[in-house]
Amino acid sequence: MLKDRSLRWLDGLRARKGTVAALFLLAGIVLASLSAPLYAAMVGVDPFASDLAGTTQRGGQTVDLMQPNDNPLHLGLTPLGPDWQPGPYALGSDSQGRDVAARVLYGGRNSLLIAATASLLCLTLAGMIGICAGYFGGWVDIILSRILDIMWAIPVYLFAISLSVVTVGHGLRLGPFVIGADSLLIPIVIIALVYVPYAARPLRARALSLAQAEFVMAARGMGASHGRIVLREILPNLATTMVVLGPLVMALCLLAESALSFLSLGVQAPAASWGSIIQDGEGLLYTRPAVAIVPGIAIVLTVLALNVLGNSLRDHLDPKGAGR
Amino acid sequence: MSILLEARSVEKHYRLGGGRVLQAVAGVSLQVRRGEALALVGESGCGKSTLGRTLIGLGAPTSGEVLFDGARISGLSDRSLRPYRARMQMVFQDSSASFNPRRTVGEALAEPLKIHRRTGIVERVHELLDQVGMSRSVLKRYPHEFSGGQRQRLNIARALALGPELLVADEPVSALDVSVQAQIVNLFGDLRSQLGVACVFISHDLAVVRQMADRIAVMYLGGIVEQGDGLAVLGAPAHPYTKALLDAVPRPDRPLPPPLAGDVPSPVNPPSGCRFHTRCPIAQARCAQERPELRGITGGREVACHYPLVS
Repeated sequence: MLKDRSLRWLDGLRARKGTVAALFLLAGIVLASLSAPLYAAMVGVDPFASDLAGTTQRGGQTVDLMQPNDNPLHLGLTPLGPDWQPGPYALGSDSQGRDVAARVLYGGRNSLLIAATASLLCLTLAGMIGICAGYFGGWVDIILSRILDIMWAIPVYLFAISLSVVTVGHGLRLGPFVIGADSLLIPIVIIALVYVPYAARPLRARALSLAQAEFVMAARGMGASHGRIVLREILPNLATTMVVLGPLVMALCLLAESALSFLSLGVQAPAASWGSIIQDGEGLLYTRPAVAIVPGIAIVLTVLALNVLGNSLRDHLDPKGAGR
Repeated sequence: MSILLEARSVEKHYRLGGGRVLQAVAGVSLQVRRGEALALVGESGCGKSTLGRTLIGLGAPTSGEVLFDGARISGLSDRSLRPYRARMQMVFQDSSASFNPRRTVGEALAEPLKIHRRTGIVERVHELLDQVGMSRSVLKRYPHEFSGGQRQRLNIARALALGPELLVADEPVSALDVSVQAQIVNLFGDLRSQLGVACVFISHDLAVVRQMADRIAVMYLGGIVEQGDGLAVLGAPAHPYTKALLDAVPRPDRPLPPPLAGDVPSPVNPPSGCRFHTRCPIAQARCAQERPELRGITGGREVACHYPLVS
């Protein structure tokens, strides 16, 4: 049923131009981000090294990356602006003399990687919690649901920022496992955790209704163990809800990652993410707006595409509506 | 015939909010002999499905005990119940809900055999399909691709997979067209004569019950009011409720008698004395105070009434 349903979803794609556009857009963004090292090597820039005294070629002439300010007071230096031509510094330089175009591509790698892994982790955790709470019920359900309620009551960003502030200085120590302060795992785990209540609620509700389905009772009547029922009866039916939630949760995770990185609490310099590049561009907003606007547009387009995709999947696979 | 399944004073209560208790099954004792077909008859909400599930070990009784082949199975853990699971199976009413929509028919039929680690699974599944009259081409298809009657055949095939000695079928034909009902009724008849499997049919349909059952137990509000040989009970009911049920069946040769007054009382607040006295056309003062026990009358039948119509 899953197979022919997903095939029918593909068949119906021709009728859904928005979904097709979203798929292509997403594929384009992912491919572009994956090609970041290729791009950096091709145009010959190092997007991670500070290069305040560097120069580059523009229209056959050698120009400084840091140029005298063109405002009336001539205070400080302004990075080289974009020329929108293929080649090094197409989008100009940031205040450290780094190629913005290459950084946006590298930033996309980090942003997408964090959003994708965080949403997978989030759905895995939420799935386990949802199954425990929904299938076993009773006091397990009461305890888990109250914990989720408490997490739900804390504003997501506040929660994420608090957790990040705790871990940003010295990393995370979980028994024998030590995660360095600059590891991508830290934002991944934090973002996954804060969205667990969002994903766990619809999954618990689904598991609850599945647990009372006749085919689950039939499996119990045959003598199937709880583990077998969860793996073979509940999980395959819960998968639809998880697939539907996937893109929506990933969009939320991407936004959270950008926000944390913008606040210097996510991806740590010199590594880049769309959020941290926007922060780099914040001080240049009046002179070199492209530094902040380009990663901003990348975030908007990715989140838009993910939401269109998620809604299309939901309309098709789960007409009763998972999530909200 | 030896006794296969026995229920002794089985009660099943559900706690509702506010300290109220719903008595779904209130003190039922019954016996199913090997190879026998017993029908549990009653209106919806009388507790017959709950009783069926309790008999088969899906949910422990609040009090009382269930014995299978002489061994007590009520109150056993899932693990210690497992050997008995293979010997008694349930056929659920809604065949579309009783199959996992994500798994093929072949996987569903093989599942009980895998759970109990049987060998020769493929051969057994083919044999089952032959027994219920389905072709082998169905194995790779999904449950939603079948009609209700076909699905109910597969449902029965799955219940037979482990070679049970007892089947509990909860309204096995009520969701089907009348023509398909006849096929399934015949299938049950064939299977019983071939395999000698004992059946408990849960039904509200007296016409179906007449076809399928050797013995009938009539339930009202969680308790058995009358039981005995099927034809005898349906031919000359001893309990006024059984009579009312039979009168409610439309027949071309007579006008429909006036129906019972009032609604079924709530099982949260059952009436005192005889539970039927609030609606009984022949109730007397004694019926409101004294609860009648099942007692023997002619022909090995039992009735729970102070003033039975047959003595």
